[in-house]
Amino acid sequence: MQNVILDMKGIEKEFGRNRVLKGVDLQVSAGEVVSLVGENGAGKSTLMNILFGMPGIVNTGGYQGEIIWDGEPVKITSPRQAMNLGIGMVHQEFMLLPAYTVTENVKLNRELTKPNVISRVVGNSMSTLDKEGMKNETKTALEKIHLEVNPSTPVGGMSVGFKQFVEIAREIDKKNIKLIVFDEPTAVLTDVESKWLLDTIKEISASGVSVIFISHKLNEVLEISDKIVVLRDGELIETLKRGETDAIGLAKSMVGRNVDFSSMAGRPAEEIGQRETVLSMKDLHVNMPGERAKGITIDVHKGEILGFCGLAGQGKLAIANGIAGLYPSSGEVYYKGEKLPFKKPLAVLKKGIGFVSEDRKGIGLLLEESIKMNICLLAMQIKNRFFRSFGFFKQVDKQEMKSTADAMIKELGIKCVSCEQHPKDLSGGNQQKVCLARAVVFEPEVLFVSEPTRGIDIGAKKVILDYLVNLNREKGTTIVITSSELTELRSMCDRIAVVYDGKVKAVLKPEDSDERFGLLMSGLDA
Amino acid sequence: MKSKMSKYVESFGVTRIVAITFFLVVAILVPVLHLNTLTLYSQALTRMAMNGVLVLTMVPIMVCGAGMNFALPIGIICGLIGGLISLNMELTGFAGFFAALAFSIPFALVFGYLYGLLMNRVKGSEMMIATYVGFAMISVMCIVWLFIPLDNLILRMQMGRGVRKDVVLSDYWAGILDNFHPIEIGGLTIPTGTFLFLFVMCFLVYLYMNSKTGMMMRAAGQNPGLAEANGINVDKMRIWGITLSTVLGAIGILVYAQSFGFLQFYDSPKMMSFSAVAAVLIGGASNKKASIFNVVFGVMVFQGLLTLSLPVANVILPESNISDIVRMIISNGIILYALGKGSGQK
Amino acid sequence: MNKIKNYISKNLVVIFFAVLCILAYLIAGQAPYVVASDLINRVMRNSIMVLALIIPIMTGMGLNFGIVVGAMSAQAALIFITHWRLTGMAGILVALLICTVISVVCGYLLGRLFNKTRGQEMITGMIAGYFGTGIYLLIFLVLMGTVIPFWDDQISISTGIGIKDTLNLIEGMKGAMDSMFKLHLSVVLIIAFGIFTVSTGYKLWKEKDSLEKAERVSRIAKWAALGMGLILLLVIPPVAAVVNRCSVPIVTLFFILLVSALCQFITKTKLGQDFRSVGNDIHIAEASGIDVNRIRILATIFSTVLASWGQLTFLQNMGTFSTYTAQQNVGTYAIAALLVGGATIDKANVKQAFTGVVLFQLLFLLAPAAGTKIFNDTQVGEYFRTVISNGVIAVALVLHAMNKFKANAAEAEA
Repeated sequence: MQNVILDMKGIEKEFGRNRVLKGVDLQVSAGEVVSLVGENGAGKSTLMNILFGMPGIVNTGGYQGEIIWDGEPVKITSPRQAMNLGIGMVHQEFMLLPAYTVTENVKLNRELTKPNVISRVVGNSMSTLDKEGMKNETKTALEKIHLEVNPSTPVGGMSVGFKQFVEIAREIDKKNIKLIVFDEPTAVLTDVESKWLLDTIKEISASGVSVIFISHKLNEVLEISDKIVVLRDGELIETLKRGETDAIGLAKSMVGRNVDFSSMAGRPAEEIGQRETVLSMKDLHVNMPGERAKGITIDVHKGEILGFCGLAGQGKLAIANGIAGLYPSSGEVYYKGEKLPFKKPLAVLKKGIGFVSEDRKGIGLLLEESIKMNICLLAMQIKNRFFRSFGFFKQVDKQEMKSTADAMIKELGIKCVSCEQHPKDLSGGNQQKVCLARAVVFEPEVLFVSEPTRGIDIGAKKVILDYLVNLNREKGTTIVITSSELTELRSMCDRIAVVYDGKVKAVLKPEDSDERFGLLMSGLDA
Repeated sequence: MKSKMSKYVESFGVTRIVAITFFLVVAILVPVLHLNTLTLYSQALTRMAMNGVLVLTMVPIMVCGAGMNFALPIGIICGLIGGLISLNMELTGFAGFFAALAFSIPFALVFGYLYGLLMNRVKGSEMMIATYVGFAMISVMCIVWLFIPLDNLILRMQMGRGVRKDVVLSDYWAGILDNFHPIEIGGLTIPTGTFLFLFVMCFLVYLYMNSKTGMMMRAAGQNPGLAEANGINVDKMRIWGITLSTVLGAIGILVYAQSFGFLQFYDSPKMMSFSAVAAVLIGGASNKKASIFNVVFGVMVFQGLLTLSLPVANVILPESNISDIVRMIISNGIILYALGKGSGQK
Repeated sequence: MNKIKNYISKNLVVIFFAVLCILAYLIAGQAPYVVASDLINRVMRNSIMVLALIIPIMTGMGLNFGIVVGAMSAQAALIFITHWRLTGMAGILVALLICTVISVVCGYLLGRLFNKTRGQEMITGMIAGYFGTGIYLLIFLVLMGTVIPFWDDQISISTGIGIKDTLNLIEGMKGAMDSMFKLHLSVVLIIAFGIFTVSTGYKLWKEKDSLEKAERVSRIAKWAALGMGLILLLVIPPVAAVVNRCSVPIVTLFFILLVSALCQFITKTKLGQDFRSVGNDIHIAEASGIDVNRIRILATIFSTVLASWGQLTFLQNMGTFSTYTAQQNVGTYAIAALLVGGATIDKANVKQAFTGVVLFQLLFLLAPAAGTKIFNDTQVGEYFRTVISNGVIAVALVLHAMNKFKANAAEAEA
């Protein structure tokens, strides 16, 4: 056994009633490259946030379990403490100040200083910056990762790849660094840059610094890891040594679950295929930051439930958002033979296409208006419901609003005091139900639902999913559901489209095998 | 129990409680100190009525999401222009007053619309910009007032052009609403006309806020992202709200002027927005929410406090400006409190 | 040609106001000596207040309208000094001490408030100024002589409650700093040029290896041009007469230079780098372990203290001030001056502060006369001043917000 630098034992974490980590162990030895793989929501980021003592963890009651760092048990309560211990992180979204030079960014808040007359009296914060020294040390760090760039250039104009390397240089430059976490570093890089990055990681680990590598690109994981740790639903599934598995095995253990095939609601593909096409996307591009769609082509049949699955960042969320008119899009979308305009939410809604956004708190709710208003708003705006006419002017009909809202509250089991309550006091699950209720009251013909069960408790999940199936079966509403929870999609959809790199990679049946789903989601052919 | 209490205080706002307590104390002290209670109460009622419409301007603009209306001076200037035209035509009585309203509204519509266009391009910094655009407008108008050619001698400065600083309305339409069937209850005078006018305005705004446009405006103000996703044209809603506010501002200053007896030009409107903002906040409004109730309750407490504290203070501390000081501390204190609340959630 | 175009577009604001100043000067037709000596006077008493704005801008808090609070600290200090009958150097030093202490406390509170209203610092600062004025009035108009035992036959109101609304600094305190040591403008210019010569020479010698030839030539040319200019100033009779007659308060000048050196120095320290980091992106600064709230409070304290020094310099120069309204326009005028100097809401430096003060004060002192000449009306010039100061601020705010709005939109698109 080599010298173990990090040993996390039995780590557990709950957010409210949601258990996201259920006793995970992770061991990293000096100079080792350990990869963490798993679907979105498997618990990778939470585990890393615990390691960094992020406020999001500390402020929600901390974690259970033990962390042993370099032989000593530690309780990490702030990012600063993690940094002092020698843990570094290369972020997916850059922690760089565009207006600063490479040197200033590498040395951010670790500036070298020289004492002067005033600082001797007042204290260290008044000491002069040692620009020469900072530049020299930065140069050394840049040389270590073979990045040829002038330390005095501002970071702002650089390519994404270069920025990523500047971040790495910053971690390398820390004198006491022992472990660097790479959180999906290659997601934004070109192939050449990725190759370069992987080589750099190998060099870093060869120099004795350990690396935790988080990536969805299974090829890369297999290439550089000494050890692969697979997480699924907050549980440790497997720890694999180099050479013990291949991409197919990895995909299977990432996705594999005991799916109850008997409870699948999906109907035979032949039956669905015969129905008329209600919505047809042709080469749909949606410019949604972080979730770009780059040419989606698929037909939606009348009365079906179509699922979109895929990893975060691959563009599955962009489809519904693009059609709903929230992000600039191009390509063609036909609804009942008519071309839908882009960036015109009103026109789309008027045609009867509803959308329940994944951004519940952001654009899903009026947090400080009554539940009643939240539920009735869309029907008011589009269908002019809930108004009473007084000759030449119209007033809202609060009575009718109340009865409709009460009916929806009952139907969906929204736990609230009354329909006058504000959604900000409701739990996540009930908030989601309010969002759904608004779309339902508007009586759409096609309903897009994005991540309907993200971050809500099991009870509410079931109510929402059952309600959607019911809506589909009884009112014939066509439902297009986008979700990161594959199990969920497989239990209710007729067809599931896998989205990878902004395109539909394949359309599968719910009962297709785990490894097919896993491989396709990771961008490999199956 | 204690934590519940402090939570309640927190949600209600310390400054608001201080203001209301102050008001009650002062209102009780007036008879206790053997001051001329009925006259003072009548004055307080008049002050409430005359400031009401100016405070009402806060409702549409705050609801549509453009923040507290620190640009009230724009509406006021439109009102002044209307008043000026009406006076220059030497119209008196109701004709004069309503002519002033009629002349000011087109200006308010135009200025409000333009101002709304501006606000739509500076989302997120509305309040600071509103303040300084208001100030800048006032200083520009200062020069304009100097050069306006006028016929009516009551308006014109001795030098032959330009508007006087304070124009006396007593021969035209001073007190036209105040003296419309005033009700006397044992020495207590209620300015019926002004209250009636205020209530009509409140009712109209209430109807507007409960129409489809009003509902959509509420949604747009609270959550522009959601509004956009639900097919509401947020920019248009904001322009509606801001324009309506400006129109109300123009009407408000004319109502104020008929009670006050003067039309005040030049620098006078500069700080008026702060009092109006403070009143609606004391009434319980927050950055994005303001109701008719907030307006009526707020203007009652705030103006009541200001009117009654002066004589009370004069008894306790003769020759001090304490009323003015109380106004400064309370009005700015409550605005600071609202600002802290509004952006405090990180 | 492109270079010139670039230069113009970069300095558009400054050029515009410089032209405005020249026009106003030509129209006003005031005696050059009067203008020059008045301008020196005004620049001396207004500079520090403008310098006080730089650090908060660097820290990303925008224009600090809260400097009004600092100004009131200085007024409070002067009330005490007058009461204690301190004069001269002792008076100035004690006043400096008191106003520093008060403004540190006020700055701390203001900083806390700014942290609660992140993103709305400007409006908060402004309202806090009004609120502070209320508190200040309460203390000196009501509490003095009632709750706080206080009586001074010189400055108390005859009823015994409160301080008179006009405060005359006692003999020996009026202009204490200014009159300590004065030199003629010509002498100051010659000394300044001497210092410039030495520093240029030293730099050339020190960097003799690393400097390119063109750079050397351009520096020497700059030196020579300035020298020629100085000689012309001293030789051309009408100009020379002005330069020789105007005098400069050296102690005040020294104080101003000290403060600007301090501002410059801060930017080169660790603290200054933290200010800049927070100003660039508050979230990234926080993530990299900088205690953002503390840094913002420090910046506010710094600004408030400088503002109190600025108001002290201003008031000792004036000799008389109205106790309760002297602070009123301090914020607006200082901010307008800085903006006239070409600063923006997220970028400002010492050079812009000085350029701004000179142009703004020049316009200020010429406006009434120019207004009278054109319109035959003294009022116009007065109002023109407020149009300029409010207008400049309004336009700067609008442009800033529009750029921010556009940048956000562009980010969402990208």
